[in-house]
Amino acid sequence: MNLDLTATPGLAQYLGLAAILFCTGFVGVLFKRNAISLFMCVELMVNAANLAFVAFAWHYSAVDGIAIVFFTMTVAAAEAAVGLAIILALFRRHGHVELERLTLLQDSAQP
Amino acid sequence: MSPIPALDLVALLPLLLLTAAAMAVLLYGVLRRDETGSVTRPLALLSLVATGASLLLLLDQDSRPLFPIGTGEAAHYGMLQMNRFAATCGLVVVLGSIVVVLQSRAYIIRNGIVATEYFSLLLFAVLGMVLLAASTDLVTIFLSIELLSISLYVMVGMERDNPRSLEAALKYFVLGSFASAFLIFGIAFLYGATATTHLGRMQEVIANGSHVPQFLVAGLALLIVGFGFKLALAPFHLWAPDVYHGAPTPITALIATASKVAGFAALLHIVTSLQPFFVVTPMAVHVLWGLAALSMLLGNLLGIVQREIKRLLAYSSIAHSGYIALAVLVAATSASDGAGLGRATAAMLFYLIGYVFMNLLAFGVATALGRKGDTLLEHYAGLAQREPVMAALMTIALFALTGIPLTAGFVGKVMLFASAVQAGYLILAIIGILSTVFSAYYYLRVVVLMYFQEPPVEVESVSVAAQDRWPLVACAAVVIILGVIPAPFVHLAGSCLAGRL
Repeated sequence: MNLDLTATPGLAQYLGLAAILFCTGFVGVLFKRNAISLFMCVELMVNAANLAFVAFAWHYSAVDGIAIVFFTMTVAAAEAAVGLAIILALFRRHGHVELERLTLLQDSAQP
Repeated sequence: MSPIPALDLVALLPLLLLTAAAMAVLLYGVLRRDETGSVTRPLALLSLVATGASLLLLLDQDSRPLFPIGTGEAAHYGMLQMNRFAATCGLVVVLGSIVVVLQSRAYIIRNGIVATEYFSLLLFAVLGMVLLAASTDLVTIFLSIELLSISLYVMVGMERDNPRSLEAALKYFVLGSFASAFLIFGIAFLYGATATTHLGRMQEVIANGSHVPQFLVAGLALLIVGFGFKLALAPFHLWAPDVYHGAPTPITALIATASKVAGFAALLHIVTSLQPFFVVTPMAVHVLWGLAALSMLLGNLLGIVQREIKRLLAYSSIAHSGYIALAVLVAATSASDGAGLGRATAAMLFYLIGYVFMNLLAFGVATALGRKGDTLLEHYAGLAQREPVMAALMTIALFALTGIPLTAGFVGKVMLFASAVQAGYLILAIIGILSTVFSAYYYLRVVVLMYFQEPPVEVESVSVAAQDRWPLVACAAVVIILGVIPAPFVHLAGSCLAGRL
């Protein structure tokens, strides 16, 4: 097996990386309990989508895929602003942001 | 250089009105204090009525592509398409939001919600929904879903002295943004499969066979997961009961009604555009089948054990998402020029219209009676003696949700199940009818509670102001009119298909 480090990565490589990033974020969301970590994992998933967009745009030599990334980034920023505000408000009230310890709303915990 | 096409201001008017009003309310909040909403609430109402009127104007217009992409032969594609279907969905959304604004009057004062921010975000959310119903491009669909969702995240957490509200906001935000990541990754793969994000062009590419099938499968799967979360379809429904429970009740009503209309309109756009693909891929059909069946069964079975009216309605809305998903499934597998698609679209639209008003009615009664986030079912015991009008209104809502004849729910369910049977989904229709029978148990249990049980001693009598009562009476009237003389509305719903895409 000869590994050519100078070869240009193709579409498959970029998509593979995007899939790895997305799965990392996905697994993180499933297993992390801290709201900030969860949020970072979601960001990772969104950025995987951005990478996929750019890879496809490059593959098709089109510009629209690259333009979409700007929209996604703006949306992610807006989401971050709102999300961090919610996390901050919760932290002020509870002194933690562990999702597992927020148990006011549950099927079993009804008064 | 091709000239920049002129803007179609008439078709854009509803969107412009909503944007201007949302900005104006926001600006007013910066300049003046308006804690009770005495200025911003009428302003929000006025702009919603004006938006509704401008959408009525568009109801009889030809299909209008807005913001065309490209020139020449590609110019008939727009990022948005203001046609009869979009205008009808937009109108239902706007009417529902008007009821929500009316219901909010007493609620925001009672629960210390800042009025200017509340109404401004509400208008932005409505803008997102109207845009979503008119979107014909996956990018505009994503952006309008985000405009809607981000406004809703904030509104869910707006009851700042209620810890449940904040907790609901965090849960909604985490799962909502998780779902958005699925949506955008799915859109990336659909773009990769067809080299376009426009649904109309995507349909052509798939019909030509010049797409990459593997990417299409991956993209569609991710997109369906994303929509499953956003529309609370089982097994992606876990956030819904918690968020519905914790959110301010008028906002719960908005999430459960108007946002579902817009979401299902977009989902219908997507599946009908990918229809050639659904025909050759049984796997994709099975997935939708499973989502619809599971939502109907789980929603209705888990509703039985609830002791809180908002949680009960949350499970009910999961089940109703399942019923509507059934219509989406029929639309996805019927030929684009056949009668099946028309029937499915008509059934879905009619069902959605009825569903919006019966749920607004149920949540409206819960809003009027609930004190400080307290919406336990026990408090409804003996309601008929204390508040006969409220009990009667709630009964109409619950009868309609069950699907009892002479209400919108009955006609809607008949149309839905008939279109499913005609399209060959007999088992799914049977599952739907069976789950409706389960649901009768928990809906009617509340009616029994209200009429045949003694009121608990410690519950104080709640007086509902007349101005909070009449929007509910109007909703009840719509629910009954749709059930008694459905023909004109069925005709309207059926005619929406002409000139789509």
